[in-house]
Parts: sequence; C-alpha cells; structure tokens
Amino acid sequence: MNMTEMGEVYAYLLRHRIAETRAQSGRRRASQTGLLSERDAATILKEADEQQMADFRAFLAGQGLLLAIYDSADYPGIPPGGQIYMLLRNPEAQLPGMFSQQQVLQRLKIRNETKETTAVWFIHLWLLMLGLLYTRTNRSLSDVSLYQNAVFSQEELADTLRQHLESIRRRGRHSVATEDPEPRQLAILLSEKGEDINRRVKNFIDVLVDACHLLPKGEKIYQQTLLGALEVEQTGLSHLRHLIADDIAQGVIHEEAVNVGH
Amino acid sequence: MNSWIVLLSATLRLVDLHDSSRERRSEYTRVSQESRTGHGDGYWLDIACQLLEYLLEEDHQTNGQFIPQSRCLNHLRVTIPELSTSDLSYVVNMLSTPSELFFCRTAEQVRQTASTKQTALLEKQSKIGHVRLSQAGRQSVTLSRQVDDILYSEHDAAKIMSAITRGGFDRIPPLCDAILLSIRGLTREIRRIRENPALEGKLNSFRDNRKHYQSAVRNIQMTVFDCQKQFLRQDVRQRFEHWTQQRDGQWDWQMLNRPLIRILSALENLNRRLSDLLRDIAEGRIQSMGIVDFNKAALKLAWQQPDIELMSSVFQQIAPVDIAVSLPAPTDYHSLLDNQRADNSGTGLIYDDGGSDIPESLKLKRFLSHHGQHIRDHLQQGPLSLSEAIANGWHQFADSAQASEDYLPQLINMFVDTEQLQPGLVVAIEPQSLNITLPDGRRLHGDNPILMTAKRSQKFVISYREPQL
Repeated sequence: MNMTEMGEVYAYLLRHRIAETRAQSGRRRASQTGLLSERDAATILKEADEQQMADFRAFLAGQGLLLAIYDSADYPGIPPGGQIYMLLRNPEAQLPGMFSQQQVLQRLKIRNETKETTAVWFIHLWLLMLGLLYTRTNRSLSDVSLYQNAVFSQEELADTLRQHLESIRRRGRHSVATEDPEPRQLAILLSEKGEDINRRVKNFIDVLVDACHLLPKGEKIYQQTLLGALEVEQTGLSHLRHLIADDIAQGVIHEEAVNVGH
Repeated sequence: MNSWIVLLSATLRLVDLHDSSRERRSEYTRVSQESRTGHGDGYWLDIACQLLEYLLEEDHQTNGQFIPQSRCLNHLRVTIPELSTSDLSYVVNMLSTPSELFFCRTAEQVRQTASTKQTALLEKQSKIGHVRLSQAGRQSVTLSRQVDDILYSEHDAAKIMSAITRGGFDRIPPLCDAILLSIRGLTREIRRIRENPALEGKLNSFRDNRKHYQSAVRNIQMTVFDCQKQFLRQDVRQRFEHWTQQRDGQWDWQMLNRPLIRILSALENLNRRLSDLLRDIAEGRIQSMGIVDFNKAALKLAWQQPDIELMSSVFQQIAPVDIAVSLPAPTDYHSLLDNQRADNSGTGLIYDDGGSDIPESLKLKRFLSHHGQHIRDHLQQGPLSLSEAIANGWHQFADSAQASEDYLPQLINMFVDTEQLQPGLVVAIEPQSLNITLPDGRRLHGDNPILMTAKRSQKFVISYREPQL
C-alpha cells in the first residue's frame, strides 16, 4: 500500500466503512465512479506490510478514527480465511470539522422541523431499536458476537414507536395543579399526529443502512452488522450513561475485577 | 461431569424428537414445552454419570470384572453423602434395563422402521447384582470424554502421527479439521467470556483449566511440528508416492501440509488471545454491561428532561456522520488522474465489470462495428483527417429501419484513443484548418487532427513540411 493506494482505501472506507476480503452474504459493494471496489480495497489492505498499516492507523488516529481488523477466529460470520476491515470512530476523540451530520439531519428531517426536534426523534428511535436488538433477546450491549441474531422488521419498529407514544400519552403530561410548563421533549413527541411515523422510521432505517449499521435481509427486514454492534458497544460504554436514568442504568456498567489464581 | 452435560445437551432434543407423538402431515408446526415428569433437580443423572465414570476406571483396572454395588456405593458417597443403597440400586436397575430405540433404515432402496434394544449401559449379574459397563456404556463414557474440548484434541493430534506411520494419509485432512474446529471453538469461547463476564461458570472453569489449556496447546504444536518433520523423511515420502499412485495420483503433499500450517497459525492466534484474556482478567480490565431495558429507558427519557445541550451532544455521538467538503468536480481531469494512478501504484485493479456495459461503451462497440473497418482500410491508403471522416459520413450511421444515429463523439474519440482502431497509430495536427457546420447546427472549428500509421507519419511529415520551407 503506497500513499496513493492509502488515499484510495481511505476514500473507500469513508464511504462504506466495511471492507471484507470474502463477502459474508455473497453480496459485494460494487465499484462506483471514483471509488475502489470492495475487493480492491480489501486486497490492498491485506497485502500491506506492517509499517504501512502502522502509518495508515496513525493517519486515521489523527482524525479520531480507528481501523479494526478481524478474522474468522474473532467473530462468527466471517468466512474462514477471510478478513474484515472496519473504520470505527474513536469514542475518546473529537472528530475533525470535515465530518458533519448535516446530510444525516437533512435526510432525517420531516418538513421544516428544527434540528433539535430531529435529534429528539432520532434518539428515541435509536433507543427503541436497541430495545429490539438487545433487550428483546436478553442480549447485553457487550455481546457483540451475537450480532447475527439481532434482526427486526420495519413494521416492528414502527409498532414499538406507536406503543411508546401511546404509553407517554396515557401517563399524563404534566400535573394539573402546578403550572409547570410541559417538558420540551414531550411537546415534540406528542405533536406527532400519527401520519409521519412510517416516514420517520423509514428515514431512520435508511440512514443506518447507509452508514452500514444495518444490513437489509429481505423485505423490510434488517440485521445488525458487526460494525453496528461494535459501535453500539462503544457508545454504550462511553455515552449511554449520560442518557439513561440511574435506576435503569444500574448494572449497565460493572467493572469486573477478577483475581487470577496463581 | 461437565463433559456429560455437553454430551447430553447434544443429544437431548434428538431424544425428544424420538418421543414425539405428532401425526404425520398434521397442520401444526408449533413446538410445545416438553413435559418432563421428573423433579428437575438432576439428582439421578448425577448419580448415573458418576457411576459410569467410576465403572470405566474399574473396567480398566480389573479388565472387565463385575463390581459389587457396595463398592460403588462407598465410592459415590464421597461426593454424594446422602446416597442410600436403594437409590443406587434403582439407578443400576434403570441403567441395566434396555429401552427400545426406533429408527429408519434404508435396505434395498426401501425405507423401513427398525429398532435396537442394545441401550442398556450396564450389565448386571443376576441374583448377586454385581455390575460392569456394557458395550454401549463404555461407548457413552468415551464419547463424553471426547466432547469438543481442545484438551482432548491432543489425542487427535497424536492420531495424525499414527496416520502418517501407518500410511493412512487420507485420514489426515479430516483429523486436522476436527482439531481446527475445537481450536476455533475455544477461541470463540474466549471472545464470549470477554464480552460477557457474567458467564461466570465458564470463566471459573477456564481459569481452573488454564494450565491444562496451555499445555494442550503446546503439545499439539509439538506434535504438528513432528508431523511436518516426518513429511521430510525420505521413506515417508516414498510411501506416500506409492500410496498416491494407487489412487490415480489425486493427492499431493500440499494437501497434507496445508491443514497442518492452518493448525499452527490457529494455535498461534489462540495463544495470543489466551494471554490477552488472562492479562485483562488480572488487571480487571474487562468491562461489561448488564442487560438494559431500552424501552423503559426511552420512556424515562421523555420525562427526564436532560438538557437540550446534552441531547445534541449525544446525537453527535450516536448518529452517523458524513463528510462535508466542497470540491470542484474533478471529472475533467479524470484521465489525468487515471494515468497518475498507474505511475504511482503497482497493484493492478480488478474492476468489477458487472456494471460496465453502460450505454456509452455499447455505442462505442456499435460504432467500431459499423465504421471501424472502413477507417482501417482508409488508413492503409493514407492519412485520415477529421474533416475527411466527417465528409465520408462516418459521424453517423443510418439504419435501414431507424433514423440515423449520431456517432460524432465516438468518431472524435478515435483521434484520442487510437488503440481502439489498431495499434501503432499516431495523430498529427493541422492548425486552425477545421471549420465545419453540420446540418443539425453543430459547428466544429479549430485544429484539424490527422490520423495515420506510424510508418507513414515520417514520410508525411517530410512531405508536409517541404512546402513550408
């Protein structure tokens, strides 16, 4: 891998995040104008020597990114003799300004809603999706290698969202006695009249499929990708604590300090 | 005990299917919970397993003697103090009474139901009640000891050695595969322990067996090295040559050596993970998360009012990111960049050509099939300029049925990418002599390119320059 190839592989990984030397599903990401094909990107990475890989990693580290490499011994689903290369965000680092979420916000937003509204919807949908991918199968966030079992359909997510909104409505909005204003988030969520739910769910899934967190598996059925599982684990460890109320987060993190008998 | 559980869990559902009373072609495909009639405490199973293990040991030492039940009782009471004589004789009676197993077999292309009653695991002497293992019993203990664990793969590795010495070369790949499978199994196990330290039982048994694992890995490694050394010996080689000739030469050395190399690299990988895991355990670095009820979390979140700043920073962390840069479209310089790539990179690219049959390339093919030969013929006669080619009408093609198709871009392309026509063509330029207006209003003016064969070009240049001089 020389510098030109490094640039090309970098461009490929920025777009697709995953390069496999042998495809898991027989489906390959085909070459596009101005971008390597998956096979070429994976081959260049596979043939690179250690120094080149170290350089590449250092280059990525400067931008808050990590390169993860796994083979068939690491996770199920990687064909024997194959490698999988993934571009991950370094949870500790700040992404440079060239990365932006404008496009994502653009794709998620419905009509002229504010950025804040879009973000609230996204976070709720994201938590509900984790409910389908993790809580439903009794899977903990660190159970990365169970990613192939994590499957849900678009319909299920939409139903869960409807139920979620219904439970919020039923629980009552704010106390009648005091004149506290309604919490912001409630106002955002409850302004939903019902017609946009399917659109929101679809936009949400499309964005995640595009980001390689989900893999379409047949008609409106999606499976979590290894990349998705790893990223959720990372965010879970680093950021979920801030978001989830303490009593639920109990046991979210427990550090295992096990003494090894000598 | 653990190995018995592995063996039983591997077969339990098969036994359930054996006992299934579902009618054939019934509409129902749902499976109900098995109704197990027992106490569900595993007590009898525990006695049986320990008894079988003990009897195998005795079997080795006494070479098939019947053992008095009292001796069994004394041995078992060490671990199960509350065991009574009648309990033991119940278990003995159960294990020595055969139960009938039904199965299908195909004889002369007819499928028949058959059965066997050789399922008693013990043989009991009548009257005195002394016991020993039956053939089936011996098999079950041996099987239980062979379950997937790498600890027992040592013996598999030794089998490779004996396969080599006995000339059973075709046994080697399947043996290697079995070892590889168990190595992969353990590697997975390590991964699962890392992901979920709540699997404490596994962690403990793993820690207890640590030394055994490490020595098993070392031993397998040594044995594989020995096997590779064997392959280098002259007499083994000759034996193999002879053996493969008997089998029409379908085998070669690589087919035996490659699985061994795979085992070695898998072992190396395993070793690395093993020591990583042990180090991480020792330093308390394994982080894990409990199971979170995300639906509840989402509900709580709606009321909990984390401030909007926090929400937007969380959004930044969890939502995907794209790249925001504005660059001018570089397509104009595409060919330039392409060449640069060839200069800078030694790796040949394999483009997926699945989608390469775009209309443009089809059009180029059509153009070449209509006019390619004419142009080549003309070039044999003399140079061809663009204006001449247009005058010949080669910038379009009138189909008998359809209206005429425009080929001007393809024709001009011939003056740029000359290899499309034939190798060894060069292009000369006649400055500012092109000025054509096509019937459809397009106007070509500027330098007039001239296409000619390389041999001709020298003469041409000379003859062309002469009038100027």
